[in-house]
Amino acid sequence: MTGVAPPAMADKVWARIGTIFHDVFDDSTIVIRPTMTADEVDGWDSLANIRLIVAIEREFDLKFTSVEISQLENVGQLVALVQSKLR
Amino acid sequence: MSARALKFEVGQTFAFEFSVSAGDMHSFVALSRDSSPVHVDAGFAKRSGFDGVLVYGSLMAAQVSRFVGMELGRDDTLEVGLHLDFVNPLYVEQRAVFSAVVDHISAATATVGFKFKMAASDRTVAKGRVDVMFLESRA
Repeated sequence: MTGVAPPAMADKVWARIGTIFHDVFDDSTIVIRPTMTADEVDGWDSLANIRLIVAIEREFDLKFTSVEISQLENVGQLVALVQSKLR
Repeated sequence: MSARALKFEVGQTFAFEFSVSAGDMHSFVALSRDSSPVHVDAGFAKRSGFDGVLVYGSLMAAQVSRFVGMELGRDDTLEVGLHLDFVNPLYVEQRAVFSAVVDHISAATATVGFKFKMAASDRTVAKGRVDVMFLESRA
């Protein structure tokens, strides 16, 4: 077993996080992709980021640390962090 | 300056009593400019199947604000998310209990999630969830 999530599981994580983005930013047209950053999403400010992180923690029943959050540079890293905690 | 500790536990509970007075209702009419008959006309409310005029939902939401701002024992709270469902009517001057339980703690964001409900005469009148950030607990 490698450290890479199976494709089907990875797809589901992407889909669930995409749905969270739709809810948090109230925009069902958002299509998340690995290189996406906060600058590319209308309304992705510090408060929205709090709501996003809390919503992901709730959805996947996991916890982030403040260090983990501060090191994230894009959506791909966020999804990878979630996937790493689900293994 | 070091961050204040986030001293909450999942399952921790809170509760307080409240009621909404006729004066509160009048103040809200002036503030919101909403004088919908079901909230101000007892005859209309009774013809609509209720026991009296209904408390404005926003005045129940105000109890969430009281909970966040005054009942948590901290002066650094900021409400960052709220979901509220109205389940049954609440009437003016009816005694009600607001109760809440910690259901999520996000140390990374210094945010605590609470599930809450408001009950009167043993019936739930409103329920929901509120997320509260503790500004001085941020890393």
